[in-house]
Amino acid sequence: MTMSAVERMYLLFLFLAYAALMVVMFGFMGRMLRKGRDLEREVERLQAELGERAAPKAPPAVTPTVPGREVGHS
Amino acid sequence: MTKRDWWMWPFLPVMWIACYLNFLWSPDDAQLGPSQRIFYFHMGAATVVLVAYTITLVSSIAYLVTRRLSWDRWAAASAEIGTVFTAMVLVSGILWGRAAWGVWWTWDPRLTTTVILWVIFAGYLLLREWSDNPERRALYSAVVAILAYVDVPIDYMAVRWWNSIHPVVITSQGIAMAPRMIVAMFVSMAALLYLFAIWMAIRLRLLRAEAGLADIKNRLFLAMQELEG
Repeated sequence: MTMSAVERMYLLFLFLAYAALMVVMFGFMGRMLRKGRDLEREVERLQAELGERAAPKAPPAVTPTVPGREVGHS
Repeated sequence: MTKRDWWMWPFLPVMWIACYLNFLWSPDDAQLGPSQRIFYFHMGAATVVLVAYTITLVSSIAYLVTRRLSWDRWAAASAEIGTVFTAMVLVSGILWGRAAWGVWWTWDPRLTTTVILWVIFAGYLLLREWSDNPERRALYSAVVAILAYVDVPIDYMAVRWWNSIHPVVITSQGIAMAPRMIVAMFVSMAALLYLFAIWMAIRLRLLRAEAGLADIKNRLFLAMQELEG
């Protein structure tokens, strides 16, 4: 089965259409990779911040944040 | 795209080369004519399916052994992408079958086992949505993934074990195709595996961020409970 010149041209158009589609896909994936990395960084930052704030588990009356005498100290 | 994603940059030329080889460089099939060209992406997508589900299997086993949730994320990401590629295999196969056999669908062993594989892994993805408990979800998913993988070798061997009209390209005597067709096939496989790798990176980053957000939500919930108490 041999192709005519017009059919060959269709194949060329098909190639060009796919090549253009790949450019769109490349741009989309690049954007997704960058956004994913940004998101991951933000989540890590939030986790770190939350970790620092949640560190003192005991109530302030027992471990006061302001320097001074401890509870029960005479 | 950042500099750390440099490995993604060759994607465009690789895909262009694969498209050029598929559409313009490889010869027409003597009987099927230009419709043979569907085969290159069909075969490439099928290779990705095999790799994706194998990664799901290995990651699921690794999760059961180590109980580390990062393995569950690998299994989930790979299964998701594998399911999309299985759909690509089915659609391209249907189009090729219409040109080659004159029918859109036939219950051939290879076609049937492939559609079963697709349904099983779609079920796996649905199962993952059932539980909000990450450990429980990972445990059930790992067991289901291992059971689901049984269909992968059956799918591969279906054309050899039973009477099938599906062509067998890679045989013990070699690859039954013209040399240019073989080159186009392998380049397509490489290009689609590359696409799979990029897609995996995207999904894994999102799944890691999702897990991190769940962790933040839990910590905030506990902190609020402490305040209320």
